[in-house]
Amino acid sequence: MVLDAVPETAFDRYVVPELPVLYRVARSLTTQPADAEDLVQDTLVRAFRAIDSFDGRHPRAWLLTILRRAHLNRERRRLPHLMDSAAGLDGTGRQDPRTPVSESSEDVVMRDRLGDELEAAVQALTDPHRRVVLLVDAAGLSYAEAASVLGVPEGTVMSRLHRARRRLRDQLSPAVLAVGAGSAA
Amino acid sequence: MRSRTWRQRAECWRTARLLQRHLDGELGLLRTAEVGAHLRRCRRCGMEAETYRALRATLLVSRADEAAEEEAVERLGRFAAQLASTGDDGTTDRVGS
Repeated sequence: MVLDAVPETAFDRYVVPELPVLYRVARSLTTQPADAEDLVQDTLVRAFRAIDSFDGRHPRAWLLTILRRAHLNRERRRLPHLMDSAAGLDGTGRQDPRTPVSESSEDVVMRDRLGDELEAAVQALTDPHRRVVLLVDAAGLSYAEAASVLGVPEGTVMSRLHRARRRLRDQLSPAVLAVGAGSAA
Repeated sequence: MRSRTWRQRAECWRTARLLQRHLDGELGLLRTAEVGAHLRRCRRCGMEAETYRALRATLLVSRADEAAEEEAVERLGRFAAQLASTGDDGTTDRVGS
C-alpha cells in the first residue's frame, strides 16, 4: 500500500523523527562523527528513494535495515578483503590475517567516549559483545532493533548482551558503577 | 541468619534468568510485575538489579558529547529537508565531506 501521494509527506512522517536514533546507531558503527553523518545521509537518500514502497509499519526497523545495508556497502568499498562473508556487522570475532594490527575504528570511538576504566572493560569484550552493548546500552535500541542492525536473531542479541554485561559488571570497580548509579538516581 | 528455602531459591533463579529482559523493558506485563515484586522482596536480587542499572547508566553518561550529537542531528535534519523538498541528495555539498 502506498501511504501518501506525495513522497515527501511520508518521508517527513516516518524518517525524520528517527534521525537521533539513526545517528546514535551510526556512531556505534563508525570511526568518526563525520563518518556517522555520511552513513546517515546515505541511509536518508536510500530511504527517500524507497519511501513509495514502504508500508508504514515499523519505520525504525525499516530504516535500521537500510542503515545496515548502507554500512555494509561502505565497508565493502573501504575494506573489500574483510567483507567476503559480510561478517563486518555480525562480528563473528574472527580477525582477517591480512588486517593490519592497528587501532580499529571502534577503538577510536571508545577512547573518545568512555572513561579509562569503562573503556578498558568494553574493549576487553569480543567484537560481537561490544557491538551489542553499544547498540542497546549506548544507542538505546530494543533487542529487535539491534537484531535488525546486526542481521542476527533476537535471541542472539539477548545472549550476547547478557554475557557482555556480566563481564562488564565483573570488571568494573564500584567507583565506576557509582557514577552511573548517581546519574540514574 | 535464616537460610533461603527451596522455593526462594527457585524464585531467585527464575528472576536471574529474566532480569536483563526486565531491566530492558522487554518482558510482558505479567512477568514484569512478577520480577518487580521479587526484586522488592529479595535483597540479594534487588542489589543485583541495581548493579546492572548502574552499569547501563554508566554507559549512557559516558556517551559522546550531547551538544555535538544535537548539532549533528540538526545538520542531518537540514539535509533531510533539502532531500524531501528538492530530491537533491547534495552529493556535491555533503555535510560530512
